[in-house]
Amino acid sequence: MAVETDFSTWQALTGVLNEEAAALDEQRWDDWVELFTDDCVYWVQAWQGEHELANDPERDVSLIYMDSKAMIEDRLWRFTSGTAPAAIPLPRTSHLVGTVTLQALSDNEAQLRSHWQVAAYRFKELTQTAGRSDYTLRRESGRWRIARRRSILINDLAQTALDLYHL
Amino acid sequence: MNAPQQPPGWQREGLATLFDRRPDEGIYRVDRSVYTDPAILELEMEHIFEGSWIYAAHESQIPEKGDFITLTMGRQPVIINRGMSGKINGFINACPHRGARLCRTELGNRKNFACTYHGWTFDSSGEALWVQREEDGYPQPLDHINGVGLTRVPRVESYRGFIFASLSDQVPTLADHLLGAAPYIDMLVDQAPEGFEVLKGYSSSIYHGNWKLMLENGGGDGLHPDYAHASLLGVANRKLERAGAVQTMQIDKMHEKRGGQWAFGNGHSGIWFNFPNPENRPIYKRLPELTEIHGETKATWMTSVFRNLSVYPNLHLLDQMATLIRTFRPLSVDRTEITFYCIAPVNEPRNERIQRLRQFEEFFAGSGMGTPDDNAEFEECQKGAEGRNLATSYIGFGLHNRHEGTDEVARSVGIELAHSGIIGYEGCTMTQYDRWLELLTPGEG
Repeated sequence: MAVETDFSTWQALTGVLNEEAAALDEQRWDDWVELFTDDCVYWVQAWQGEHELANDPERDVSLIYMDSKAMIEDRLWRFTSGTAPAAIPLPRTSHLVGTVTLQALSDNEAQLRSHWQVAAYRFKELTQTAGRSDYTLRRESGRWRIARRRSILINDLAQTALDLYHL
Repeated sequence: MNAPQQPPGWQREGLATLFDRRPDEGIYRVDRSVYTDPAILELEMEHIFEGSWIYAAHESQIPEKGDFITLTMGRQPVIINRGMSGKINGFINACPHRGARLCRTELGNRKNFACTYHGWTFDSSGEALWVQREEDGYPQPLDHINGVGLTRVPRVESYRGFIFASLSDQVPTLADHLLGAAPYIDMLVDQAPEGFEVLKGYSSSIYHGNWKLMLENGGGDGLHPDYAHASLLGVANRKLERAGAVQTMQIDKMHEKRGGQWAFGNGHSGIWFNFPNPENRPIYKRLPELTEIHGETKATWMTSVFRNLSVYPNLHLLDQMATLIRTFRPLSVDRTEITFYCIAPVNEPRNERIQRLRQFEEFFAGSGMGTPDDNAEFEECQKGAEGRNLATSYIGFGLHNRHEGTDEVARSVGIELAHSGIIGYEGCTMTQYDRWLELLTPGEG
């Protein structure tokens, strides 16, 4: 259920989602990782059949489950280190983020849902990923950051690799 | 209509010429057309994936009566179900009438299978229950089992919860197929008093490369981790000093640890070495009670030893960085699908489960930090295999000083071996192709 807010708050909130997408596409990795809180949860759910999800990250398997910025930094280090064959070269990516709705808002916390499609291009082949994400943004020292991103990927058949820049 | 012609070059002796097999001289060369020739894939489909035992599923995927999963064996759509009697069955997933698939989802529960095209309906044992306008249209009586019933997969058998199936009935018993792989499976299953189960949440990955590249990697490539997985080793090092991090099982410099590589016969193989940090495995907490039940040697093997098991041709049962079923199938000569199932003891304590999940997700599946690097290398091998001026792979590591028969270590855990070698021993790949030749050239040798 969407809630209303003023335009400048809306811009500040959706600006985080837009910057996340842009920083990934432009490979501004430092800018990108700074969007997350230190205790952030970054979760991509796994499926169990066509329409059921594995919902409990402490009992069931996830595609990706990270519960700290340090774990995101590990992944970032890996795919930019030049030591990971799947990321040599990295794909070019283009994120389209849309249908964003504000689900809840308090002084320092906001919940948003976005839908996204990502085109990735590597070795002259295009792959696409699509899904939706529920975000919890938290305001820390005046800046909105991502405290939680739970993603559902509709095409979970990973083609060679599925990493954070595909999401 | 004439039967399709087999490619003339790939009859019996023809296939043997793809290999330069001189293990005593340390030479084993494989012609890379085994990865690139579509005619060879056709033979593999017929004689391996549709002509011998392959891994199908785990019993915990169909725990209740009526549960089914769908899969593809070779090229053929298959249903594996637990019938209303409790018996596990395999059927060709096609209506006997005009061939439409009966089950169209990956999994589900059905007491009966009804075809949505013309309504024919079958019970969970494959017997036809209802055929549209049966008395108007067909001479009576119709044989509802052998005439218009579902076609069974000829052989479906379990070993300790792992379901194997064969589309040919001309196969040995499952025990004669598994050989030394069976006690290796026991070392996994016996860890859990209530057995292992496949956890909820599975995924698949595709790479642009021949299926045997995955088989060879998991079945005995102890030479690649320090290079292909250097980035994961880097991540593991980054986490060492971090409080609260779920630590990675250390696999760097495997060859410096006590370990080896085993060929069990029938193309099955395994890698083992002593983990330097077994205390980071969830099962390690069970060491005292496992020692009481199984004795110190076996309990140490269960909890503290990296173990890869490759069951020819399509199963990797891994109990190492994480514990999982990895199964794979050719989609075409240069495209392969891998599916990953994390497995865990039934009723595993919460903290051990969390550790298990995080270790699995870190390395495995297309979304992990290990699998993609393997996939990327398989794709590079596939591209490289097109370099036909360099037509063969040089797969001879450790062959000249291999050990024939069972060794002392294997005997200590009750395992019979065909041959074995040091970490990196490429006799594990040789044993796969020995089996390959046996299956593709039946009656030879």
